[in-house]
Amino acid sequence: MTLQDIIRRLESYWAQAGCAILPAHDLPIGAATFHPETFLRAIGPEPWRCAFAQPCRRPTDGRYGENPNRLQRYYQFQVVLKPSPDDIQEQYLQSLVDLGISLEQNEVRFVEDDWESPTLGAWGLGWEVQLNGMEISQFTYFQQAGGLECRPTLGEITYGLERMAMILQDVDNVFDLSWCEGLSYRDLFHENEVQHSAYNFDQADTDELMRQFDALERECDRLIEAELPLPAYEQLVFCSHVFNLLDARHAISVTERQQYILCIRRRAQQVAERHYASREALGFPLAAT
Amino acid sequence: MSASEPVLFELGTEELPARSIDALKDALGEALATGFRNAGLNFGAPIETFASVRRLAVRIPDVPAATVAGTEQRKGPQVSAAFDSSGEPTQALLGFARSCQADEAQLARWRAGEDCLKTEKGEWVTFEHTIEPCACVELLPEICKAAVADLALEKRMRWGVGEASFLRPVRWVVLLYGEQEVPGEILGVPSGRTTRGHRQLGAAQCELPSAEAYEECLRETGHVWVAGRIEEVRRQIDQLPLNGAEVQCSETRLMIGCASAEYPVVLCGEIEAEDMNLPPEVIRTVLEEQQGYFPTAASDGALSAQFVMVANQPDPEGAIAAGAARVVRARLRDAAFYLERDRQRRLDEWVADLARVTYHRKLGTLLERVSRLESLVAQVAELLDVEPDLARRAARLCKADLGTDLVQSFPSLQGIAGARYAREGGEEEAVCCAIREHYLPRRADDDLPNSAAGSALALADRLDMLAGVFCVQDVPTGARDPLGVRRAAYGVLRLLVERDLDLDLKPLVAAAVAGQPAALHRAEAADETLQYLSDRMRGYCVEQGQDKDTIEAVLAICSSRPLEALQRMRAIMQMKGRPQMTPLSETHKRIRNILREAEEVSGDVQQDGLIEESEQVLARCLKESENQIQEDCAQGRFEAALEQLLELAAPVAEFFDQVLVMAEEEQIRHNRLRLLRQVHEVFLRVADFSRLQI
Repeated sequence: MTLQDIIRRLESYWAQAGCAILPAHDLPIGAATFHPETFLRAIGPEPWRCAFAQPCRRPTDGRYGENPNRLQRYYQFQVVLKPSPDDIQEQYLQSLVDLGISLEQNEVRFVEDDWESPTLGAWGLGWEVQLNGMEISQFTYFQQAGGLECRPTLGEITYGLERMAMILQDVDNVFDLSWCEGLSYRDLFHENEVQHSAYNFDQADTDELMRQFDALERECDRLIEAELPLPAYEQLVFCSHVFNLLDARHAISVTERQQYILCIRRRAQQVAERHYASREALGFPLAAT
Repeated sequence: MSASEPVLFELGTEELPARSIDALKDALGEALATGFRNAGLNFGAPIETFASVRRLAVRIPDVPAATVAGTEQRKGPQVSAAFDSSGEPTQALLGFARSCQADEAQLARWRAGEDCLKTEKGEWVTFEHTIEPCACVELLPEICKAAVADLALEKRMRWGVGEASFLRPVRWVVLLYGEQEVPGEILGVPSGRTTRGHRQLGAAQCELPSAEAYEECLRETGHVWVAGRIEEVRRQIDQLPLNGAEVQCSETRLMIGCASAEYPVVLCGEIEAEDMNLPPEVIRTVLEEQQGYFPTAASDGALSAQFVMVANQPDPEGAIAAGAARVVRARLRDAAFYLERDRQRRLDEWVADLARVTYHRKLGTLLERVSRLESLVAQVAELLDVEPDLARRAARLCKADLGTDLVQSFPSLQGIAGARYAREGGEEEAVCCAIREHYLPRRADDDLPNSAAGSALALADRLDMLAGVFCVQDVPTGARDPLGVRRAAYGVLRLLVERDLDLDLKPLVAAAVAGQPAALHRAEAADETLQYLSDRMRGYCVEQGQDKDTIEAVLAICSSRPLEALQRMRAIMQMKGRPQMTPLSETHKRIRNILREAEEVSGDVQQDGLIEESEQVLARCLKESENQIQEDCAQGRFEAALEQLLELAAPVAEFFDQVLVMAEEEQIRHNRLRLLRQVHEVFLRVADFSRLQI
């Protein structure tokens, strides 16, 4: 099954389960959790169901395209179910069956893995899901987002698409994956890994990035003041990416790290509060039905 | 129905953290037992507890169908507060009467002074409460609810739209009294007799016929082992064809491995021959820490290619074992890739890269820290009989592996990777060893360095960190301790005490502070660092079984030599039971008080100014024992020194009996005060006994 087929299969499975299938977020983000359709939807009482494939960037994970398992940009398939349904685990397991994975012959395990995003002021409890020992998904019951209690609880399922595809295609090197007939992951993304690793580790101008960080932070503050939490959140998401770039350049010490994280978190909380207020002002339109 | 039946309570959940299951089932058992007792429900022994990764269960044997009827005495307000001056019942009494549903006749009896409880502490009105017998099935839901609510959980979570919270979502509840289904609701889930089997192997729904049949029914139709998994796994391990190799797993790892499988099946995976060339510590890290598998090793300790895992279902097609081997291979290939890249440079070539890594915003880069360590460790090394150049070399290299790909990807290999690269680069064995050992102890219960060079570097590493944070006043507060300052201080104490290193921290801390960037020097930093260490010393000594007052008595005079301080405490603890110790402590307190209140007197005792015999005797005894005590202390013979002090008790007591210290005549008074100060000083050579509470 090609990677493209996997995405399509998951989209159709979760569409049938009542999810809106949405496009990926159009800014660099470290995980699908940062997508406003995850993070901001976790806030407030409105129910929400969506799914989307999302490219994610983790600058520190780049290996110049030389490592068979590591990428600085990879793909997640994200499913967001709020409130988390009682049979959410069964629905997830069925999605694996739908991808052709036999649960009699393969072992699926839910291994404790609590999730926390210090920058987003968000945390949840859940598992990493292992298929025959390989982590293929993250499963989280959101408890807090932006410092606000998640009521109702949002269930987040994040499939690691490359990992799943490597198992389904029986491939040991991520670059050998077939994206679609006649096109490999190498054809599509290898050069991107090489060049971006060079940028992330060697070329990124740390002074300029620090300036950007400060500018984004100021812009975020201004937009929070202007009661525009959605654009404020965009600044914040970008801020977080700049922070990750600085981190990849080893430009941040252990103690400074804490400062940067607190800086982003404080704003994430303000954005979350403003966003809640703006939904409330609209009468929580999705809650009525 | 017979007179008593077993109760079964099962809490069905989504997958619980495997490491918590055993402790949780025990806690649930205890909480239920307490609930039964408080409700007046008797039960037989023993309580049985069961668990799997998706359930916690308790069976309580021989529970009667109802509580026994009886009476209970309730205590109300004090009699003095029950009636006011005009003899009218107070609000306190009326409130109590209402809560007891007491009638007028009862009020009259209280007024007449009846139904009172008299004790030494006072007199209270009481009420005899009749306890109606209550049916067990009526009480059960509340008892279970309270027991679950009382469980101490590391974390709690909510799910769906509910407000109920637990460690993971609760999906079903079973509550049976014998064969009887007990209706109730726990954490928003109605109870019944339906449990759930293994996700793949068992029946999705299993009807439990009775509390007795619980584990058998789950085994037969549910394919779930709710007990005996460890024994089963051990049995399966024993049957593995391992060609003489032994499975290596600690009790904890075995327990966690077994807890995560409802239907444990021991499987074997194989590491490919090519990957077996990797350093064994890398293979172990991947198997144990990353995957939760068990390595196997030949009798000589060498790792074998096979590893063992506990799966949650049979592996008919071999896909599970193959998958596990594949993950291990991928991780090991990852490691091999890093090793190969790392080996393109010698370890010392990585040192320069540390200039790009910030250690602390104010304390500079890791390279600057390494330079500080090089000079500090040389001083420590001399005290530990380690060749300073060797220690300096180890310090130079000890952080170099932090930049390597292997450590970046396997952080727990820091030091271990460095030692290996150093060895491959031809460094001296003692240097390699010190690089690995300087991170020890990593946790409170971790091993200590074995080599002297390792100890020296471990000490220098921690002292530099402590001095640094005190110079920049970035001392941990609350739970925030990113550098691990508390752990570092604790490590220093353990190193000195448990490695028998009788060092004075004062000069070492001074050196560590002096080594910090000049712009950061603060006059108070050294004292603050020492104070911090001495504060940690209190906690450490308590753990070592010392009494709090003994700790204070010693730290008052000896706070910068941890090993010696502990030896002094042990000596005092040895003697504490002796009858003479109480007067010794009281005498010291008395002397202290007198000296505190009297005028300052300088100079030595003038022998010819001692007029009474008792003062002359005391001065003589003091003179005789002083040198001996000094000698004993210098030699670390603190018990002997204490014996000497006890000898002084009699002449001091005699002195206090016979003479008046605060004599009218100034010369005599001053001389007596001098004598007492001398006694005080001799006492202080061993400890400040005035701080003992005996």
